[in-house]
This record gives sequence, C-alpha cells and structure tokens, in this order.
Amino acid sequence: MRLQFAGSKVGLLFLLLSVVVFVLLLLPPSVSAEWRFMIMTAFSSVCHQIPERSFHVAETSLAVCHRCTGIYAGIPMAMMGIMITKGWRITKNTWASLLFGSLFLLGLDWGLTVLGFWENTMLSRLTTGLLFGLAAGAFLAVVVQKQGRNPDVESPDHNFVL
Amino acid sequence: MTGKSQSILLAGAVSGVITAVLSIFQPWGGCACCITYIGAGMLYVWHHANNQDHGFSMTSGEGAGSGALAGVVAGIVAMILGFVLQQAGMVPGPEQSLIDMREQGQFTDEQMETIEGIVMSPFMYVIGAFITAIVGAVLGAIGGALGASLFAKGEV
Repeated sequence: MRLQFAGSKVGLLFLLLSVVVFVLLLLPPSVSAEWRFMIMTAFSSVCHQIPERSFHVAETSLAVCHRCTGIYAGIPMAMMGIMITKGWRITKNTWASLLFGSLFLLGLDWGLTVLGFWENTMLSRLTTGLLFGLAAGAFLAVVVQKQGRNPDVESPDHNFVL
Repeated sequence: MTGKSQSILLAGAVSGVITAVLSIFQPWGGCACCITYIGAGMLYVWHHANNQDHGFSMTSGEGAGSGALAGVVAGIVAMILGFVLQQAGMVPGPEQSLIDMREQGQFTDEQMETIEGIVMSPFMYVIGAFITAIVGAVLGAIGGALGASLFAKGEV
C-alpha cells in the first residue's frame, strides 16, 4: 500500500510532527527520570497534567491528560486515514463543520463540569478529545492534500471532492 | 518586515501571552491552552486578511503553513513569559513541579537527586522549547487552515 498526500511534502511534514507529539507524550513511563521530568515539564504548558485525569502505564502518568491524549492520538490517526483512503468523499467545508461540532462537544463536556451540572468521566474526556483530534487531523490532511495538487487541474473550492 | 511576517509575529505573540496568562489559572486554564495555539493560526489569517487593501485570497494549505509558524511563535513567547511568571512566583517553577511530582509518587528519592541536577539547566529549556514548538506547529496549522476557510474572502 502506498501512502501519499498527492505529492504534498507539507502534509507529510505535519503528519510526522503530529506522530512525534503523540510518541513524546507516551514516553514518560519508558524513559529515565531526567527525561521523564523534562518531557513532563515541556508538556505542562499545554496541559494541566492532573494525575487523576491522566492515563498511567506502570504507575507512571503520561505527559498529558485523557482529553489531550485523545486529541494528540486523533490527529495522526485521521491524517493517516486520509492518506490510506486517498481521502474520503467529504468536502473540506464538511470537515470544518465536523471540527467545530467536535469542539462544541469538547467544550460542553468541560464547561458543564466547571459549572457543576455534570461530572465528566475518563471515557467522556477521552471520547470528546479523540473526536476533536480526528476531525482536526482530517481537516488538516484534506487542506494540505488539496494544496499539493496541481492548481491547474484543481476543481473549484465549492465543488472540491477528494 | 512583510505584512505576512508581521501578522505571524503578532498572532503568535498575542496567543503566547494568552497561553501564559491561562497557565496562572490551573487546572482549568491548562485545559484551554491547546485552543490558544489553534487561535494563533486563526488570528494570523484574520489579521493578515484585514491588512490587505485589495481582495485577499489564501488557500487553506497556505493558511496551515503560516499558521504553523504562528503556533511556533506562540509556543516560544508562552515559554519565555512562563519563565518570567515563574520568577515572579505567579506560576510554579520546575522546582515546585518536581516537589509536586514527588508527592504524587512519580519519582523516588534517588531519582530526585539525579533530576535536581538538570532543573533550571539550559538543556531542559532547549528540550522544552523544541517540544512546545512542535505542538505549536501542529495546532497552529489546524488554526491557520480553519482561519483561511473562515476569513479569507474569495479563497482560492
């Protein structure tokens, strides 16, 4: 099976970066204490890292919380999915709508907990994060795939179908 | 400096400041930090679109590329400001994080001794900047692509 982004090196670069982020957040349980501390400190700027809200491997928490793990897992998964399927027949604008929809669900899960109407769970945090990551990754993959195509043969934006 | 570079730096700086300020309000502030990196990309497109005298067009792919740069700038700015806030005692520094992690049982006493050697070392900040830049690039790219879809009138 040949993976490609319709010639888009930018797409491959973003896929590589998103895979690197996902691998880095999985590393803390399997590296030395010094590296674990450095990775945890680096990710502290993008996540609260509360141990009760993070996955644990061998009694060591990952670098980010359940929700962020879902987001950073979803982005490369969706990008690879778009590469393998050569893109689904879903337009860029539909992916953008799905992205906003998943962001709304994520915000709802977070906001209702902050307001005291609902107590989110590991499953709700992971699911809403994963949905957002999948939509974001798919959207990014579709737009860079489109960018990599020959503009001379590219269909108009409103008719664009992969 | 070109209008594009100016927009990237401005969007990155604004998002970096917001990220740093949110870090004061833990744990809830930390939940929104990834959104601010996405915001960096969107803000770049919005600012760049509003600074064009004539018709403005941008593909989502171009938005993603420049949004990634805005995300990297946001990450670097947030890191520098985070250091300033640590020195001001407004957010916990690496030493406090180490103590917290020890209390949570993440490190043993022997490990603590080895880690204390790297706390505040330049190498730790280089690694931190590298990881923050990658995260900022990925999230900023998503924001830039979204921004191009929303703000670029007459997208090509």
